[in-house]
Amino acid sequence: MSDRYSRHELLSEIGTAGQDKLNAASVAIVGCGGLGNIAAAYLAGAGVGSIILIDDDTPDISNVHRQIFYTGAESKRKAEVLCEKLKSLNPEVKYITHAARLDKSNIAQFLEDADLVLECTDDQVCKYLVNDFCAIENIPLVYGAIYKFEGYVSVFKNQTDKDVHLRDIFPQPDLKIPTCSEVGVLGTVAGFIGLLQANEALKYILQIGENLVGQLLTYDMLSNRQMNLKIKKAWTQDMEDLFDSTAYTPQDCLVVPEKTIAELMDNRDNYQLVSVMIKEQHQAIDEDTLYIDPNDLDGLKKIAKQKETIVYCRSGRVSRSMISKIISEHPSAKIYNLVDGLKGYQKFKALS
Amino acid sequence: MEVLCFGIAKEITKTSSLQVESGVIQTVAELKAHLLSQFPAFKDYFEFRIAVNQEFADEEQVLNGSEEIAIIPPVSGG
Repeated sequence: MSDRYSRHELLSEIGTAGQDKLNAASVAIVGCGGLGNIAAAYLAGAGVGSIILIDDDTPDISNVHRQIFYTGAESKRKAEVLCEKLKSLNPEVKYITHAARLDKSNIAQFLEDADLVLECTDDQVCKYLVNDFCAIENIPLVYGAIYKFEGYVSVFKNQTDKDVHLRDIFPQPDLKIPTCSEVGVLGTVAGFIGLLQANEALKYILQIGENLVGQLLTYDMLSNRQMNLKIKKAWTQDMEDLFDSTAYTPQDCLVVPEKTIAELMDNRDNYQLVSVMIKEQHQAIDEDTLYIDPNDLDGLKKIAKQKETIVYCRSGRVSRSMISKIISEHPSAKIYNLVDGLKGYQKFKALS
Repeated sequence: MEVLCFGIAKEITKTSSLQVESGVIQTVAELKAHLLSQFPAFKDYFEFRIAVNQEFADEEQVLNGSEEIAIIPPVSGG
């Protein structure tokens, strides 16, 4: 028995067989801030075989009250500084660092060897990028997020299409929700939620206890009130299509709600129909079709305020982009993109 | 009925536990409409979720006023 892991191995639920599982596992930590610092330290201590650290940020003095492995004076990136600390904590672990911002172009490469991922960033768009990628690639994901004195934790198994994930709880990233740097956070909240994430990761790898699968744990650190909220499958859209059509940038991260031509025709009176085609190419679908110039975003906004609105252009791309801008400002706007635009209508007309 | 508030819902309602007159509210959709009319700032955010008896609820879910109800908004810090 190795002395380093002897207190693990003494536990009948772990033993040497369990410790071997930990030593063979590869875990990626996306974001080396408040959640990632603590989670990484405990996973390293536990002897997780290899740990992938991803963060392009450099430590700042305002981080240090919760990101306790930094001084704020380092010029190196957080992933590199944290790696050095973890090496002194447990040199037996293999560490891989990516001092880069995770994005759509590098996620496949960075998470390629991960058996399990911890999402620890403070970036809404990144949380959805990681969620969608892990759902498609069947990589279990431990989700964590914090706000002032509260935190959320969940485990998305991602083994079948029936397993719930972030989009079953909150279908869209909401860029208006403020981050820790905007509204502040109690340092211990970050540590506590990060530790819960590490705890879920260890249990998942060891296959012991009950994971937060299919439930969102909410924890209010001021009252110590916690809830385990059961999550139902609500997301129906194909995840690969979604991944392919989203850039995962603040400008292009929203899922634009859609209506088909059949849905429009079945309830024509319920909707305003608006064409945003180039003036010379504009074709009205029916006599009640309104026209708005594709550069006149404010004009479209005004119309959308009055009644539920369906927008189309030739193929659906321009209308999608205009709607995306409107719903990012006004999330409650009832505005939809017409699937396949005018082309879709022409096909529908030819068939009927 | 008592409605617990989390995250940004605490800021919007200025309380962690909201008392809502349950007489006219029979479904989750009606509760959400009521909250939107009382606190228009909710319109600035994508749909906040309502949990009923520790389970995320559908809009159609019927309420009798005795449930444990919570407003669960998204949270993004890390």
